[in-house]
Amino acid sequence: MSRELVPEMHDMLKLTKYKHDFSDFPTDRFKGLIPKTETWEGVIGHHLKEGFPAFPTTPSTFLLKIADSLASSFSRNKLKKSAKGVEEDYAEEDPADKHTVNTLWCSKEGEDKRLEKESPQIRALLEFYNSDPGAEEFFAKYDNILRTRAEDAHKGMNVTSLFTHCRLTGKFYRILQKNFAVEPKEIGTTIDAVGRILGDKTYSQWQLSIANCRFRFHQKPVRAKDLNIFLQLEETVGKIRCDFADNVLFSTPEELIFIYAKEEDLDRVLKMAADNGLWLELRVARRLLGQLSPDVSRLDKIGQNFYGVTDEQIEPPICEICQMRQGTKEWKEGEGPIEYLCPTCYDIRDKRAPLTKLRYWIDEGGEGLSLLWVKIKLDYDLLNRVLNKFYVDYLKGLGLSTTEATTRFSIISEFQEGYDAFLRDFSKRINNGFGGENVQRVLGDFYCIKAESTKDILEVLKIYKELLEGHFSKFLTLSIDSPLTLSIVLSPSKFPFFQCWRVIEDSEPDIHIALVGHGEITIKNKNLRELLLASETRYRKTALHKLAEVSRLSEALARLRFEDKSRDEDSQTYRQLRERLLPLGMGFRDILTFARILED
Amino acid sequence: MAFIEYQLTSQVLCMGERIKAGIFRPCARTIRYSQITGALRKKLGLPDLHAVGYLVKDDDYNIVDHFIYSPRDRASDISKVPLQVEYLTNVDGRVYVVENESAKALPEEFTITMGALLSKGFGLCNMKKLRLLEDRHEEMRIVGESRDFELKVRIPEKYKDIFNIKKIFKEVYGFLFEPDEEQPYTGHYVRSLFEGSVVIGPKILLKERPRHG
Repeated sequence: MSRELVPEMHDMLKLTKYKHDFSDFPTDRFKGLIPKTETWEGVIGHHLKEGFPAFPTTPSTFLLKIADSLASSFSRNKLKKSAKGVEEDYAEEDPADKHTVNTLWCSKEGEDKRLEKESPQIRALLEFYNSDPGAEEFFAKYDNILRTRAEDAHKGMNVTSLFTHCRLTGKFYRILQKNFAVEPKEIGTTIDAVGRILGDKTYSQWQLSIANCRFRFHQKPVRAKDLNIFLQLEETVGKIRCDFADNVLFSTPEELIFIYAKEEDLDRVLKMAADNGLWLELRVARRLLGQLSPDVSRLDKIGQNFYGVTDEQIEPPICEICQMRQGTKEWKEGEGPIEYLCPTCYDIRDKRAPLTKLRYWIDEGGEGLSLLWVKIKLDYDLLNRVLNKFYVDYLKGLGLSTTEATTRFSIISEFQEGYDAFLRDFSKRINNGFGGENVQRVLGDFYCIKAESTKDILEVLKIYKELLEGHFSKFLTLSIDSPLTLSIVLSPSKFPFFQCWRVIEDSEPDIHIALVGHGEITIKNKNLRELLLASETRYRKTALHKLAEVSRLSEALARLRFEDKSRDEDSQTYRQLRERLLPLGMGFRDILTFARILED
Repeated sequence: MAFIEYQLTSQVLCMGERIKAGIFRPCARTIRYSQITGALRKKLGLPDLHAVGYLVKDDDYNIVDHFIYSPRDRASDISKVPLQVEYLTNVDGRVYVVENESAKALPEEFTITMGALLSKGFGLCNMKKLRLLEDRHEEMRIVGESRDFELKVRIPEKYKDIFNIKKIFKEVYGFLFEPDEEQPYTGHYVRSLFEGSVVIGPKILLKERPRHG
């Protein structure tokens, strides 16, 4: 007996060089191998177009057709050629079609790995489908083709991979299957009839909700144990991703894009957050299927904050960590003072502390120990805007223009793959660069490094620049804010962490560097290369040292000295700094901080 | 309604938050309702004053610094664990006092003491009246219908009407300490609207919500 339709496997012919509509597929030659499975019904019957071997006639194929559309790069709208103003049906082939994926954020195009017509692998593919496999077997076997083959090869549409499209189709299919009913007799027996049902029922009546959930915490971690809040955050988000695997369409360590049909699904997410001492910045919108968009900020302009239950009044003592609940439990370590904590913060502090390296450094480290906190943040709202800009630029570059070019779920999901790979590489490079024993992972995008000198900041910047070049090269040339922000905070180990966290939370894009007590620098990605080049110049150490020392007494005096145009050697150093750094938009305070970084 | 706008300046000010783990005392980066109202009421003996404030955004003012000192236990006169304290130097802020009969009695210029470490020379603040803001002034215009404005001050939720906050679209909650009127060394914490709350209210207490560049 056939297994249920596997929606992820619906675009079989896209793995080959045959046409997607089967028009050149030698069906007769493979007659004995044509599967008789529900999945195969989906392969041949998920389009509503003349020329395909079949069209949706069952609830499964009907839902697959809708899921396929929701998961595509385009809403199958028509592109207009800017030159002639002539509308073109997207299905028509064009010699300029590209079957490989153009990655919008780095203009990389992969290799065409599709199976050749007439090759033995076509037979093998059919035999594989005949074996009625599941989705994970499919992805494991054809991963290399899926990741390089564009979901849609038409000119201007090759911006997401078949891999992403298939994954997303599976998610949407199961969400629809769980929440919407369609009777076989409703579906109709002609293409026109099915089209009418789609228009009158599904796209006119069916609604889904989308929520952008940003997880936050009130806790102001003081002791190393309080950093368990990050563990709590990661576990909570991880559990939601697991329990709602199909509903989560995008995620970072602190944020989710969540699609759902029933309010109780979101209620469960909110409860999980509240039970774990977290609060949420929420944006929620409910729309008809055809109106859903991953850019939730356009659908819900300001959102709401979800805190769970909060009292209007709290009798002292208030919890010293979160300052949102009464501190009913006492915490005392050795001869230290009694701290009053609420039960949630007490439990967080009482957990097994996984940040063992950090605890060791703080407990054993001397007065001279410094820590480098490195955090990468992704601004989801800005990401949507930037991806849309890249996409419009791509279309214009091809001589195409469209007023309906918008970022759809597939592009966001494609970016997710790239972002996860970027974070994995960042982790590897940081650990290799500084030694695993000197790196403490806090979250997938947040690290603490045992710093040897201020110049370790430059090492982190070099790694970041190289990874941006490899993964998101277009972010290096953006004239607007980057959706990625890198925050680096260097602080003495005894300095309270929550103050560093405050700096990180308030960091402006694109790159923010803070030397606690000694200044800050903010620069754009596009100036990172020049900043690193400027750091490689040999400056007179004494000149840098003098500038730093004078600034500790009087910043005004330091500025006068810095701008002095005398011909002595120190002034030459300052001239070099002015020439290299002022064009990057850095002010005197930024340059002073830069000098302090180099001084060490 | 009207606000009396004062400029608050101070050489060194420690608007201390709760001591963390007995070793660090952070300084608030805003002039909290509880602190400024308490300081004004204490100075002038007028119990029905209400005021809020904020620190001006200027790189040359409100600079954060730290120092370490060892507080002494009062009973034994023995130094406790050294405490690292955050404070502000070259303070420049704005304070808005709700105009009522008590507020009308405030002088044009006066000094108050506010915050922590008063015995160490911190907290002496000059208050200089700048102007009376009335409904006819642009700064008093009620804005925020389009959800484009957020609070830049902290106000206990129960006093939002006093400050003419008409509607709250999105709360950013926190708690502020409210001393007991009869026993000022005791009190309780009241739920409050913090900076970032999206509201409709007088423009002077709000700022435009950030947009991406």
